[in-house]
Amino acid sequence: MLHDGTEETATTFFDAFDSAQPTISKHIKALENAKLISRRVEGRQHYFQANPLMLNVLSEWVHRHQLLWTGSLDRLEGYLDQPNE
Amino acid sequence: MNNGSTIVLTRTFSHPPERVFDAFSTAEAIARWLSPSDEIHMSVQGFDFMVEGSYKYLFRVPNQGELELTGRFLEIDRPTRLSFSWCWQEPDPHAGIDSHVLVEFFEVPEGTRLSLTHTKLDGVGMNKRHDAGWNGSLRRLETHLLIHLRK
Repeated sequence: MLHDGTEETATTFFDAFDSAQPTISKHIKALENAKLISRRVEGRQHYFQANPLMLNVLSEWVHRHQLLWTGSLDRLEGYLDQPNE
Repeated sequence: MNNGSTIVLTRTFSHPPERVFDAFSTAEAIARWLSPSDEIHMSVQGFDFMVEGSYKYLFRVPNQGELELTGRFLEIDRPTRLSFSWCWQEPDPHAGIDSHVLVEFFEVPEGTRLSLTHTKLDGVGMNKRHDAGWNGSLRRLETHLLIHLRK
């Protein structure tokens, strides 16, 4: 869904998930607010497209914090092992 | 928990829980170790170690300038549990993502087993965290949507 830069309508989401339409709409809105997807309106039809840049930022976020915490815990070990602390 | 947006790390230290906990509880101590590497210098700009107290850290990254991180202490239960919010500031690419860190300290024969859980609660823009409709199944749905989007 939404891969390869294709556009989808909200109906695609409604059909794909076993949840009430307002629930799905709310999530579409949330993804849109987070700039993970973009919306194009044509008449009464709304088309959605994934924003690959933002999706990369999201996965990068996890990787970055993994590095930050791993490095920090290594350093914490060194800090605790100092005899005069 | 949320697939792909939660980090869980465990580490065992050969020191009692109180000592490991205290490394998180003063500006002097945390400045000594909270950084991904020795090249990135972190300085503490604010540190009010009490529930609802805030902190502010500045990371000086070579060739990239300074990155600011702020948060608030949410739970302080020495020496077993500590949690705080965690949010990067502009112009960081992840600015405004309000995430959550929980650190638990377990006494073990070797010393202390530390468990760190970093959850990105609002990472996909669900900033109305306390919205009545926001529950476990919604979260799963959102994860599901994201998995599809990533494919």
